[in-house]
Amino acid sequence: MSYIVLARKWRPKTFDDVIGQEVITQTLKNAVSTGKIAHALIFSGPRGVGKTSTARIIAKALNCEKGPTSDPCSNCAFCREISEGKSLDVIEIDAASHTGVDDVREIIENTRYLPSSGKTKIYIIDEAHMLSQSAFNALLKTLEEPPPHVLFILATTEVHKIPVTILSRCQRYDFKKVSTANIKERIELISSSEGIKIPEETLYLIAQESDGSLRDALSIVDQLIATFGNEIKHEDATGILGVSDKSLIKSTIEAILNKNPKKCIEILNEVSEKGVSPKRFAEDLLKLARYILLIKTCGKEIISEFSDDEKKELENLSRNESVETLEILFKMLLEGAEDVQRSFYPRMALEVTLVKLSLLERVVSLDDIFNKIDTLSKKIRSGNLSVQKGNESHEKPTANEEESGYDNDSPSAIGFDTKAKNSEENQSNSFTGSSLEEFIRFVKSKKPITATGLEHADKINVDNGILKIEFLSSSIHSDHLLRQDAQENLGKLSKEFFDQNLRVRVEVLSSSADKRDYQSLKEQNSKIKDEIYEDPIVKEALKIFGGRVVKIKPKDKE
Amino acid sequence: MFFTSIIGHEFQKEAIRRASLENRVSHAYLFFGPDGVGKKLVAIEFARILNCIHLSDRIAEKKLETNPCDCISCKKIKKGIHPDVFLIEYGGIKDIKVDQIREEVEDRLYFKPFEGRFKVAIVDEAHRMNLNAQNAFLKTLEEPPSDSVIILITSQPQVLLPTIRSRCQLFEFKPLSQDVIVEEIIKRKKLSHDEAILAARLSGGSLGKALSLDQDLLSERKEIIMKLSNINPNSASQVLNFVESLPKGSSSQDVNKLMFIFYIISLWLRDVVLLKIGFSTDFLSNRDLIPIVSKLADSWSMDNVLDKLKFLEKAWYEAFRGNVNKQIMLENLVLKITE
Repeated sequence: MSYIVLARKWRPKTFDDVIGQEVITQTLKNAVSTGKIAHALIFSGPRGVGKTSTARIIAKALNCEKGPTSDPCSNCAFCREISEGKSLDVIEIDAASHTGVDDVREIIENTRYLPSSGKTKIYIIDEAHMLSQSAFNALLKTLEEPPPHVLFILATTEVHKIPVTILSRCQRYDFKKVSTANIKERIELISSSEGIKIPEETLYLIAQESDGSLRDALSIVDQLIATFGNEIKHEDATGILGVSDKSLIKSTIEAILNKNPKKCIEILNEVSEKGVSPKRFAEDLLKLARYILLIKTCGKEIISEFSDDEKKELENLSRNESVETLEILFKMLLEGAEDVQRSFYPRMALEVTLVKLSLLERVVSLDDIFNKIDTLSKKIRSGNLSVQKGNESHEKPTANEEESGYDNDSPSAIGFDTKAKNSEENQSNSFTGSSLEEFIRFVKSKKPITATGLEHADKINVDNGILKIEFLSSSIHSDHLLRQDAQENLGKLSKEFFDQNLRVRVEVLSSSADKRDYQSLKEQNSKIKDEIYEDPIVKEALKIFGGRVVKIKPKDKE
Repeated sequence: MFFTSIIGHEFQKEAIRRASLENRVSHAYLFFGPDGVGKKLVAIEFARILNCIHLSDRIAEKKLETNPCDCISCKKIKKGIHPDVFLIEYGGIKDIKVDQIREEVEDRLYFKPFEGRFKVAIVDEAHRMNLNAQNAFLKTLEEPPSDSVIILITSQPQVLLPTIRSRCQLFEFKPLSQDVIVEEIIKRKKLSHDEAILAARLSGGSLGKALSLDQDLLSERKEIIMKLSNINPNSASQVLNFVESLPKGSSSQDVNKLMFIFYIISLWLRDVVLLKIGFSTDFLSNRDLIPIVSKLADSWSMDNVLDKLKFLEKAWYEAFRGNVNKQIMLENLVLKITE
């Protein structure tokens, strides 16, 4: 007697043995026990979920000595005959090999005869989707009104190939994929009663590998037993399944997140030495990236494929990453995996993908950016933007980098410059450009004319509670601002904007000495400007981006 | 002797050995993996083990490997004339059809073995079975008559129905590891270690392919890379001249040659990437061209090289699976790579 594989040996014998199809088995049980079973059933669903087995169980349930019963005994002569495939009343037809209309006519012919020993004559038409069009049509009349002693069961994996006229005459049962947990439980039971030791981890792996098909799972177990005997180690299983070691996949993702392309390639070398194909490895990476993303966004409770420790590890892996980063990672991996699938040189395609991924810049989430802007603008308004006497200036989360430029005597100095005040000296106590603009915009919304005056000022800064506005020479703008009411308005507005009482002082530098100072400053500025325009880096940048120089800001003083 | 002529595939050999010794032979196997790694050899050896006259003695001794076997059964299987071992091959015309499966496999499996213990049906290039043939096979594949073993062999398992795959024990044959190939090349051919490594890399894990690479092809590689790295993309004549020298025809010779050139270029660009991300020169494939590679690694940016590789990948796909004007495609490729 040759060896019978586990999937055949452990074919379910009763309705309760059929795993993961509770709705269907319960319905059928009730139907059998109340005697209200339809004359034609169609079972559809993916491979290895129990269609043919359920069909045989129904046959037994109806023909069992004690039957019709929802719980066939499997011991009586009828049941045994059916199990062994010898029963004259249970006719199992391989529709894929008997596709023609003649084969179906033969069936129809035979339905007229009463069952030889049992109560019901049962035709199990397996792989029914392969019947030809005319064969299906020939079956229609019989399927609609068969003789009372006949039951048809059609089983198929491809229900969309069955004509609707057939479907409408049958009671339809859609079998689902068996859940990972159910498969794991079932193979655990089978292996322990076969006296085979399989570690928990491996059971999970097999269940995942089988993709919802119990037969696939048992085929894998068979293969493992055939190769390694009755004690199976986890490494053996990963070896024969060609699965990449989970820890290696994890460290690859880790290396990607740590921006270490070298490590990625090293792992890939190791993996392919172990005989895992690049295609497989890419798929595994993709799966793990999906789980990490799921854990990050939906919490770890919704995933049943991992043990708790593993889930925690995955959670830690992504702790410092934004959802956006993980999303992009997943997206790029998905694209990469597709490339790998169709590439002539899959290994190379995977390498390119990994290197690219590990050089990826982090994505900052929009929420983070908005939060930062929020705190920033609050700080600006409250006037807290300044830096205390030089130290700590770089750690402070302040608006722009250039603020470290102003080492001012006053602890709460705010300054800003307009026009071409770009020399370092000038910069030393000035506002950042953006907050100046904000202030002017604010003034403009209340007092447009005053704002225009401000826009034409040569220098504006805030120092020791004084808002100082300087003009190089007298003009209508300076005249306007020198008026009492304008200054009062400005005082009020600046109080509103800066949240502190500021005295407004407007100065027109009329004396020649002052003017000379400014003149030389201006010359110095334009010299610096020219230098910067001539700088090769600047030129190159202008060439590449095709822009123009809007503003020149000094670098941080270290 | 069993399995001595087959290199690698230790898992598969062990599984077969054990299954035969412990009477755990499944009724259906699917051997899949790239071409030229030894799937059919293993299948035929499997058939020999199953039907060897001395097998029971061997099982008693728990040794399969000892004593070279020249029993009548083994001899017949080797010659392909054993009545219980049948090989179904794709005739090279069209698909393997239903009738072929029915007549050559199913009908014959329903006889008792004539002289051996098992009837072994080996279907080579199983992906050539058309849909009807695959479906017709399903029931037999699930519950064949006793004492039958069906072995399907394919390089494209994804073409087979999932229902077929689920009924078989799956044996994945992997590309041979580089070390194994290098060892074999050095044993059988007069190549230096560096050249052997290069040949192994170019072979993609198929020993047959690796052994077909000789000195001439390897020096041709050097020439191509030297030329490519010297091309000035602004000089149309240089680009055109180079493309002119590439094979563009559709004969199998031309196609193979072009495929080889694509391999060369991608290995070369890969070397640049490896250097850029900090590998030492020991890891390079083109170890005789280190100066060229390291110069490029300095002058090209990472994004640039990755772009080039991506472009190459696309061109490669188009050249062999798509329908493009090869002349234009290659010119485009050379421009992109040398830029």
